[in-house]
Amino acid sequence: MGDVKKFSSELISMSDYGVDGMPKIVVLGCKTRKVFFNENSSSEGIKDAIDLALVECATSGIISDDKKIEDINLTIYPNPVSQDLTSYQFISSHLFKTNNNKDTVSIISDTLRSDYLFFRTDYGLSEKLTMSVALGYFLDKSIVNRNESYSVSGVSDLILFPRYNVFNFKKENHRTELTLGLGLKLPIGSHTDSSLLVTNPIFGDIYAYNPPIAQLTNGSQDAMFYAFIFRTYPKKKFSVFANSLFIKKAFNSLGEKFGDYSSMSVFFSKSLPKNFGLTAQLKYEHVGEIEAAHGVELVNYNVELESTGLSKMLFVPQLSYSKNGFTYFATADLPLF
Amino acid sequence: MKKLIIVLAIASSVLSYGQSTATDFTVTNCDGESYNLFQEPDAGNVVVIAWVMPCASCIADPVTAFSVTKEYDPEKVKFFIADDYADHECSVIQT
Repeated sequence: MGDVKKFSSELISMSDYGVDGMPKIVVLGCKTRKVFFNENSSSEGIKDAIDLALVECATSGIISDDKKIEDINLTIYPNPVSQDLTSYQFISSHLFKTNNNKDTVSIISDTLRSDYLFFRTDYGLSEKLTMSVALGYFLDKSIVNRNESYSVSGVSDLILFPRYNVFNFKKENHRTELTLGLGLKLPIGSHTDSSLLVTNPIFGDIYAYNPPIAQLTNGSQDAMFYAFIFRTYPKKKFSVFANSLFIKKAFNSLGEKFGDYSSMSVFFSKSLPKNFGLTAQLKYEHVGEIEAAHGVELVNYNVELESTGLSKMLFVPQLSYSKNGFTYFATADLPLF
Repeated sequence: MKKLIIVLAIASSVLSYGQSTATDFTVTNCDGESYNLFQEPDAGNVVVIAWVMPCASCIADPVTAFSVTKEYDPEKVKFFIADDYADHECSVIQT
């Protein structure tokens, strides 16, 4: 045999995979280190098992969304597997429109920008339960205005997000999986940073709260509900899956309640020859408007109500290519409305 | 009979546990290289492991498995052969 690794070591024990066989053949893969095939004295069905493993490995790393809370991976990691992830996000925006197409950024500022680091670690507490802990850190978050600027840096939010694999049915031609998650977002950073508004000879220095977008966090403890359903057809190298995320926002200490967030996405994924993969995503996203507690005037917090809330639907095609353990993605957000 | 059912139930649960996820190893292969199993799945690759003993009748299924594996990108699907109880020298497996 040609390109084969050969071993003779007691540390490679077939009894780790059940009853010994002559021969025994197993197929394993993905970051879950999952066993897809385990047979004694038979190789029948091994091609289907390899196909399934390749499809599953290719899709298990797809991230549900592109924002910080939604950066929770879809995968369930069995004990004692763990995975760590660090991502860097840079955003610079010069245009921000409301429903009537008014560019509000041109009114309140010239540039919004953020340098954001996101750390996440996943640990499989059991074969069905994975715990994710994530932390965001803003290297810089600023609004640069014509006359003044706001700039902050520091820790943002801590996110605790356990996910449970409710069921995982495998049949000859397809596999179906349902995963549910229930998370909690805890604000670590400040949401009450303020800037000097004016110096009055009688009253002294008068400060005003910076706009929420220039704070490290929105300051509320939010609950997150997550569902993921997956169905794959290994022989066709085709998968369809959907996820839904709902974030129930709470009031913060200033009496602001940021709009609840809800999203739903449907993905169609096809493995192509030569390590290419194609995924089409249809995504609906809704963010409610900011609300104020009784007696609280949002204008005091630099909140322009008209600029909050959104509803949009996106089509997101994605082409991927895997080589030497790295996967490269080319993707675009195409707004439908 | 009841005891037998209980024993079988325990045995099947042990078997299903053993079959669900892989067990890591770091060993020196027959080429003298140190090799860690989990580096492959962690890189998104698939591994086929065949435990064999050097007999003609035992090699048919691993040969079939190897033929199937060759249909895939060798960077993505790896094929390992392990001596069944590590009681043969590498030179025997090489043949």
